Amino acid sequence: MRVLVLNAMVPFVWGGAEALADNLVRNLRAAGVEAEQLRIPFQWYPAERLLDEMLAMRCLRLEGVDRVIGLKFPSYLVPHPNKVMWLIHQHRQAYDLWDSGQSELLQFERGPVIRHAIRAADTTSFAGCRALYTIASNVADRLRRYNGLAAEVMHMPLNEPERYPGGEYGGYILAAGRLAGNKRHELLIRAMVHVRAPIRLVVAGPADLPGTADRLRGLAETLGVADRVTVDARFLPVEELAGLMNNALAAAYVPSDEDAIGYVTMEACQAAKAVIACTDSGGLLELLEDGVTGFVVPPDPVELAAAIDRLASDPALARRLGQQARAVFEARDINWRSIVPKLLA
Amino acid sequence: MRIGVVTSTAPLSQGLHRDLARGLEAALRAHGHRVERILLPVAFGRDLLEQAWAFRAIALTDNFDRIIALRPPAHLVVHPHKVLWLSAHDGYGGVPAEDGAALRLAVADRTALLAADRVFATSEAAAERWRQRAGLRPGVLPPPAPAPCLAPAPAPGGRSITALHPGPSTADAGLAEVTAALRLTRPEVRVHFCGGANDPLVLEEIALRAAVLPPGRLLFDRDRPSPPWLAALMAEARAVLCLAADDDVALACIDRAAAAGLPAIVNRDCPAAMERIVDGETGIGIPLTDTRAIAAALDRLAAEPAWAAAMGEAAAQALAARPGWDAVLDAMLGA
Repeated sequence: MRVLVLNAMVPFVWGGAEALADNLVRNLRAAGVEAEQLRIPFQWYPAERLLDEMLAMRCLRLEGVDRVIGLKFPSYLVPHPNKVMWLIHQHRQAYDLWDSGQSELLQFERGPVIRHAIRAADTTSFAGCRALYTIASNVADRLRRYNGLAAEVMHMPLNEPERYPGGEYGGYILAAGRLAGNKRHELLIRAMVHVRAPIRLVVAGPADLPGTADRLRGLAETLGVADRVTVDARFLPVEELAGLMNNALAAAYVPSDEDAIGYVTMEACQAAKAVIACTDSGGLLELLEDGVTGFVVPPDPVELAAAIDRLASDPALARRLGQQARAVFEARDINWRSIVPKLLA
Repeated sequence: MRIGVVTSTAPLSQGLHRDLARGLEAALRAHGHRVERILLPVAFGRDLLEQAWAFRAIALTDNFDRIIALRPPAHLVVHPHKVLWLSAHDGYGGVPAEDGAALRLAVADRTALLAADRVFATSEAAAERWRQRAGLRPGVLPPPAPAPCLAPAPAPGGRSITALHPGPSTADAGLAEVTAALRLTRPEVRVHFCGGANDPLVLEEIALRAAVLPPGRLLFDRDRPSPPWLAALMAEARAVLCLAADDDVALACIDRAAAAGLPAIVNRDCPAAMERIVDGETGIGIPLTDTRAIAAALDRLAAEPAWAAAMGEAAAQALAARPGWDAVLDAMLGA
């Protein structure tokens, strides 16, 4: 079988969605099929462009492939008779963010038209798929609510779990992941103002935009916590990043309404690290439980500082919650051997 | 500089466009540029105006300082600082003339060339085809040697494969003609096909043809070879069959053969391929319509291993003498 994984590309941005697509192709090949990924550039601004972007995807043609696996808007709109969707996310500006008043489309006169076009194109495309899967429950919920379509949740597996055996419980909290606005590293830096324990915050991940790392460092400087905050915006080799995770006291991952459990969460759990998350962090809350796998607190610097202080002042608690996080994660048994056959069926 | 290297491609295919995109990406990164390699799907022969429009509609201007576009219709992408490096244009695999699509695509081609900062072709033949199609003759910038990923040393047991077809095969890859020629060749001539095919029916046809030949004359693997497997086959081969009429496929094949120290057997009807070899010295040009000529070439390769080896060595030397990636980047990005 010849399989094409279609993904959207935001040039020079690399995060969980890109890692998922790479890992998917690797595991398809390991299962004995010919597979590759094509990443099609996507620009979502200005909003009027979205119509052109969608139409362009509909005008592309594929030949010589038996199965297409679609992941992200709008690349999943490229026509193919044997398409399976493993949905990372739709263009949420036309869905829940519209309803909550946070959508950029609301600022445009033609916003309602664009929103309608996105929803109609999605519904038509998804309805024509052989099967619908999503990477998290919240994504499936949105699909059911807005498009009237049922999807099975199929969480993305952690690749190379052997890289995360755990290690020391060192003197820092690791905040890994892309440096992007919705990841809210800023919130953690603000929390450090209120942290009393002698613990450092290590922010490690590539920045989506130039200047992000300097802005975060500047914030730490302004708040007087620069001596306790490290911002490493390099694209770290996986072994170095794994080493940071394995030897952290705990992990902090506080995105706003994430669409998945997220690699950072899974890596932390596998490394037996307690995870600090927020009550509005979205998909990762499918795995994390307050007081069991770490702490889930409101997105407030003082609340986050209290969680950090609890772990920093009681290493035994950090260790125990970390081991529970690993147990909870491993009990889920999220693996490629069950995912690949479904995508190829 | 943020540079996008854009090419069209058929999913899971191979060819010069993919080799060039990979090579450019590596060379540009080595020079400190930030690079994204962008492969956009295309299916020639249908809905070409729609596909051409899609290529123009994909937004690249904000995220890239420069675009290097390769295989058509990637040359149509819109960017204020665009460099084109084009192989031969075959008219998109045939455009129905009745709806005006051919004319509109020809206008789009010319507009794209006029809008580019610099335009290069991968061969003299390609440059001439573009002149005929768009009225502008690009400069010629031959592709540098591919990374030497194949083992050049002969196998310990000698080179027992007269000619290797590394695939993938398409309907125009000449295998039917070669199979017919195998009925006329000396018994020691062996051809090995190992490349898979985009169309399963092509594989079935090859299997049928192999079945009616004496055992061992046409060896046939259905799967595409892994790099080590291909290297092992190259080490056993005296020459490589690069018979595609499409120069994108043929040139990639010829250069890979030369990188492995092997001469290429090319299709005389592919001008770019003929341009890449010196007939009888670094490769062999054969007319696909002349079964006896194909058989004669295979017979001579089987009978004269020293001749085959000398051609392979000369092909490797010619490849090594070609300008490298630094020269390509100078031409594309230099002042």
